[in-house]
Amino acid sequence: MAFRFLRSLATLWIAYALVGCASIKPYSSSHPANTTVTTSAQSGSLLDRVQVELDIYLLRPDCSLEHLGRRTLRDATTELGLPSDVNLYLEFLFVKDSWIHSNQSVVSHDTTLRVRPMHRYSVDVRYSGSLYEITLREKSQSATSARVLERQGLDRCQPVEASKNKSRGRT
Amino acid sequence: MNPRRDQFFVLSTLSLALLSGCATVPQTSEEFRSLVRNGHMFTTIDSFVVHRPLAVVASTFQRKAEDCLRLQLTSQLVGNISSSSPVVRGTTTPTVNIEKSHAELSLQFFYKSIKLSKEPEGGSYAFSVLAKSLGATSTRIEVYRFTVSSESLLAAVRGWATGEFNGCPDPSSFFG
Repeated sequence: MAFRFLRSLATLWIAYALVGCASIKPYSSSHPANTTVTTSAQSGSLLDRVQVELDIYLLRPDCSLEHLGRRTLRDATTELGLPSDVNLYLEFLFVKDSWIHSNQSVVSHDTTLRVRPMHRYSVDVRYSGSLYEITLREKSQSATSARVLERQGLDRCQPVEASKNKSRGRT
Repeated sequence: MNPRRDQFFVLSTLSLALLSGCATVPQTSEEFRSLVRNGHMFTTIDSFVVHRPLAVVASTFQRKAEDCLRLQLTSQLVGNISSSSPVVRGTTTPTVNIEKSHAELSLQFFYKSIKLSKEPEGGSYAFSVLAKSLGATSTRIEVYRFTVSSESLLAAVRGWATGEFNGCPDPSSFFG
């Protein structure tokens, strides 16, 4: 049985397939690498293990999502090429399995992100002792240091009506 | 899921009600804290001082409570051939109240499968934090909690209050 914790009372529930993982599209892109994800996940118990997954979505103007793919953050460092100048929705999943029973828990941490050209991004993902922390930073090519980006929830998305777009000649 | 955690939560809440002579579980966060202060079993108070002004601590609690503690627990059976639809099993509701001299963060738990007599709206109070100003630069933090299954909440609150932690406690460690 999989138990999922939504960080808000949003009704959207995305199933995590325990089997048939081939049905979840892996994330790959032709975009040059612009994001470095550093992952450290320790369950703190010999009886459990924690795995971190990252789902990447395109956030459309009407606030609907298009799944671009999933990347399992197995390695300490993962390089990603994210499309720039589009709104993205990143969902980090902490998947905790037990060695002694079949239950699984999934904790979701999400944020929207708009990758800017000529910028580098770093994500620090940590899970230890039942505490988790995700820090997203942005650095321009000319800057000497990176700035921390605050989490932007999906609830802040403001849909752009299709009719407004049509009347203004947009597609 | 941890059925034993669910049962422990129920037993702890019921014991608070019965031992206090109340016919129902605590109806407010202050009633919950009062029972804990009276030393009821399965509860404890942790107290510490942080060198940060109350306003900063309270603002952090407000932000992190919404980010980390407003939860919906769903379950789904996943099999080789098909999966069931996700079912909502419960919710947690954080409340943060900020006054000039103190701030409060409380957490209510609601389980659909557990029926308690006259449970307050939003669920039973099972975790409460009081932050009291000790002057311009210091704040005392008092955490009222059950002794089991709330260690991660305590650790998170301590980190938020000191400014050393900006993440969240794993909900599976205290809820579900």
